[in-house]
Amino acid sequence: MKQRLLKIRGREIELVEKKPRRLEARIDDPWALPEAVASLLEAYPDGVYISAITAVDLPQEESIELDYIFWVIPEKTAVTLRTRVPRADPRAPSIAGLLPGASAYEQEVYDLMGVVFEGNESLRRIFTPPDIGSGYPLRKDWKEG
Amino acid sequence: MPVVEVSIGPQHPALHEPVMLRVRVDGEDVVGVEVVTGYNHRGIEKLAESNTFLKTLYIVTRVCGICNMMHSTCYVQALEEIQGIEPPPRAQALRVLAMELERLHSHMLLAAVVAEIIGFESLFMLIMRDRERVMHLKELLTGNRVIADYVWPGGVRRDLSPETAEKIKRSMDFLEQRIRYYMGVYVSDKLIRSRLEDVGVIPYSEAVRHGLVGPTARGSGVDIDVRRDDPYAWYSELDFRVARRNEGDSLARMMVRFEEMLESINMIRQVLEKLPSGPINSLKVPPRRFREGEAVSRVEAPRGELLYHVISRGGAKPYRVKIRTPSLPNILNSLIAYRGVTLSDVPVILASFDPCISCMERIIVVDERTGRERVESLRRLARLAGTDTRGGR
Repeated sequence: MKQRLLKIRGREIELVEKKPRRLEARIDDPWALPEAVASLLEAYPDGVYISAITAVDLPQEESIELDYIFWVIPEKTAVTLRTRVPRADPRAPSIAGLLPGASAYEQEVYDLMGVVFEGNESLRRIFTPPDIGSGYPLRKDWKEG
Repeated sequence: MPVVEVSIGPQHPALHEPVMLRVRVDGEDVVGVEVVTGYNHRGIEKLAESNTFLKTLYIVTRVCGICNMMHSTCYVQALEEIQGIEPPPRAQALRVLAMELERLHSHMLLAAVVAEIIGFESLFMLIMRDRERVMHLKELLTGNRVIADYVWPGGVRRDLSPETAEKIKRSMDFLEQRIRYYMGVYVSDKLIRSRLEDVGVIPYSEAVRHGLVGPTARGSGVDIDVRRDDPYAWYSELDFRVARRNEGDSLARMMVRFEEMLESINMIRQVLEKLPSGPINSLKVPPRRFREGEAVSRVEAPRGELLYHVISRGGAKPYRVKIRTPSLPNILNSLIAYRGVTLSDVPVILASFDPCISCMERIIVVDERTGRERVESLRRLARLAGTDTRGGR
């Protein structure tokens, strides 16, 4: 891939090749994520779509990992941006303004894992059935009933 | 005229899947659409975490009744990457054979369903009759016409006999001729054209920004296909082209699928011709416990890119299985296509995305509209429609 560097707050973060056609980078501060996505979009306008957001509950580390998987069409490469949010106050910035395709995935993560994406106005707790209570089903400590 | 809300679904004669479209109309004109889902949720991601790796294989095979081979292959590929298992070439080729048969019957099903929604019921019956041939071939190859537990870590579970290979080969000649005929009907029939052409248009940049996949994206000219761009199984050994159209309307999406059906036949013929000999599995018994590791696996399902993200922390159970099916973006993010159409177009447009709600609703999602931007533009559209009415239409 030609553009291997993402610009975040004046610094550059390198995308590391894990195996052919799979690049990834860890972004320590989740609030820097929109900048990283914007820098990807700047390098490939109309050439990046979001494939998925995987949320993983990590109770021992007291955090929730968010893996954003993008596909860069002209480079035929997947780019994964990994970040973590604290489990006690899971908040992350929404990237739906940059890539509207992310909105549905953010809603999914909000509903099943309880991460609040600030700036996404369609987040609502009506995805799960009304009798689900206040828990988030994909958290490891969730109990049915 | 006041804006009226019409609810279509979740069980409705015009929709073949349990989804609800809340359509706001001004007279006949659609001014806003909201997708409401959650009627078919089964919690499969959570279920996967509480079962062993191998039991989860049976569960994910049942995510979708149409493209179950795609789900099991995608999941098994992730397990193989984590464990470092290399399936033999014959198994890889047989996986492609089974997956292309599946794409063929899935696209035929949709061509039939779209014909039925348009009101062309005899075409529906004819295509369904011929689709039965493919279902029969899939049964001969995998052991079952619908849910086939065919793929297994390290390979596949049944070999292909020369007799079955011959039957598949002969049927391909018949199916090619039938599909060319149906494609001709779609191209030339005035009724079909008037219901599909210029209806539900999605421009290229919108298709990319909203993350649409598969024939839905390729109908808008987006050049993506996992089989070619990120080859898996045996696709790198085959010579095929990726169908694409630039119009972005419902007809373009159907034409892409017809061309893909012909390409599937071409691929099936190539597999039968070049099928390597040798074992069909590299392991006698699949492992019960898997190493620590993770893998993102992608396959091109009939509806587009299917993605599995499997995380293992060692042991017998997966730590996390993330499934992203193609219908999720294709249905929830495609509301732009309903702008400015009339109410009667709504079911046809939805069908042209080939919705698979069982696929989509392993998770429960209700999508209001995708992002704030769109809400505003729909309102603007509503205002514009109001002005036109006052203008004495």
